[in-house]
Amino acid sequence: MPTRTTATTDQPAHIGLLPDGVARAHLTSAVLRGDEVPPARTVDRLSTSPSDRAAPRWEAAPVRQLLLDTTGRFRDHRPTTADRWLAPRLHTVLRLTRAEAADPALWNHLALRIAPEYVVWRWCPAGGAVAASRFSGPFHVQALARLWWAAELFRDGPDYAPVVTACANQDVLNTVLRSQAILHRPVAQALLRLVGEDGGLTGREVNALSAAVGAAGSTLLYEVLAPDAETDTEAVRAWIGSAHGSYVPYDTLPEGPDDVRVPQASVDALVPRFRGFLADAEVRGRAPVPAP
Amino acid sequence: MKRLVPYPTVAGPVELAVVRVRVDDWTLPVQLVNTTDRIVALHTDRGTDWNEARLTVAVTTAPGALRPEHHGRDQACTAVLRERATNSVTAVRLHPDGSGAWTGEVSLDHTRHAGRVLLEAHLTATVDDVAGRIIGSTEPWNVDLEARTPTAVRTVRLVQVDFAADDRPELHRFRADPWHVDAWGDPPVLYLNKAFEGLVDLLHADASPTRDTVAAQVGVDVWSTLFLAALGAAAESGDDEPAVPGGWHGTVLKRMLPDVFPDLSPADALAEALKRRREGDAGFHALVLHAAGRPARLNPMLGGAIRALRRASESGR
Repeated sequence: MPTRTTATTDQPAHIGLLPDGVARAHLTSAVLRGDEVPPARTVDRLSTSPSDRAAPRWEAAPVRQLLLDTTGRFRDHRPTTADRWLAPRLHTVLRLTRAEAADPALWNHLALRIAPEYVVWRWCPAGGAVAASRFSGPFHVQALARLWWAAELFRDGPDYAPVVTACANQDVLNTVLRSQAILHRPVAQALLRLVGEDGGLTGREVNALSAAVGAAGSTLLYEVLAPDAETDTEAVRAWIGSAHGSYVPYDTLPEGPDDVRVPQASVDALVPRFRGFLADAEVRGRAPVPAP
Repeated sequence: MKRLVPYPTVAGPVELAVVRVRVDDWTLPVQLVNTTDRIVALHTDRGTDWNEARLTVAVTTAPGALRPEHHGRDQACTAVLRERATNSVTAVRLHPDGSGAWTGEVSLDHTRHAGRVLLEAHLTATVDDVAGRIIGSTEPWNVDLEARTPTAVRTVRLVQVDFAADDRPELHRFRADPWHVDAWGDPPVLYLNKAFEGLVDLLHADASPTRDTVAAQVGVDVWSTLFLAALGAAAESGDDEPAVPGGWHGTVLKRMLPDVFPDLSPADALAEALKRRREGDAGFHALVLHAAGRPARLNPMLGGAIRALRRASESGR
């Protein structure tokens, strides 16, 4: 079923699902340069709707407004600095289950139909073109999916503060976000504690640490070393269902779903070990590199 | 998966059995649990509107294979559910049942999973003062939310369509082609162009030299495209050490790498393929085409494709 459009504007009323093939076919060089937006009528005709399409959480206006406000708010800043502000708020506006967020068609529709202006603003170099994978691509690359997933995987229950730490560092978004080890929440929180400390970590340190954590995970079960608490899936369902009229604060952090915090003892158990990995990696990094 | 590690691991197989599956308040029929290929099919006639599947699992080792004095203290067994597409991992401690097995119940939440979920278990112990060392792992099970039958590997999906059709803009640039392979999604799709006169009829027809030649061409195209896409997925896995990815990517690589580099071990073959891909080695493409054309692989795949075609046309799609 095509996404319904309102009579007065060209904006669709609801978020839809746009298949990968159709999305790719409409990522012309004019779209990628930001000179055109994908043809609305065609995109609407080829999009489908989520099964509960009438639910308030699929309304397009709030997420479009948030994305346009982002480009306004950070007009005079480098677009990368907007990531840490936008990620928690995008997560609050888009009330999704992980199963829903795994569907690339959702992110295609948001990028090509709801707010292509945001994708161009964030990812188009002056005089250049956006990489097609920022409109339609893997979860850790696509412009909106990467921020939503960063918020989902780095939040500590309802607390989005670690998400801000994560998204302030492009190396965390580019490397750590797609590492398998961080899917165990205590690993993610321990990593972010080191990233967020005074002085933080350089990009190179983040990448070295992420690689070391992943490599150690092949012989260590972090789930045993540092157990997580059981997720309260009912709390997530309730949070997703309560989207209607939810207000997104711009100057304070919103609150995420209260599906249980990461046990601090587990994070504490991992932090010294990760410091050790970092020390080892740095020693290796300082070793003389033979000339090619 | 056997890894070389600098501490003793459990000798002999570590086996995981799925004893029972409850979906909300009813029990999944045993026919939907395939213990040979380790697959659970969760898509039943009762539909997809369920909240939680609970899998009762039991993990066993060979008798006497696990010795505390040899393998370390704090021995434990943990079952892990893992789905890459939904970035969801759930770990559950299993408990010894007194007869040498560990048992427990793993809960799969429907909001956190969408397709194929891996289920495996790991034995751990404190080895040389390091807690949580993996001393043994089971082969993974596939818990498939979309499968109606517990059969191995979802193969290539076959779609017959007019490439110039209005609702297929992604196929328009291939409109003059007889077929097109799309290795982007999961499962990959082989499109046959209905507007290409005679093609579908030919593939339906009884065996003939013409049919076999066309079918072989399609097969080479399918396998070489899938192989290169799977290699791309391995290159993007983001780990320092290249690993065979999961899903169909892994299946394709495991089947084809021995034909591409017959003299290399699987790990070396993968590393070599990734290296040649990076360097853009022109000879590499020829090796892939050669491996993709191996009759041993072509025949079953095409047999399957043609059967699928028949089924599709019989059901009127």
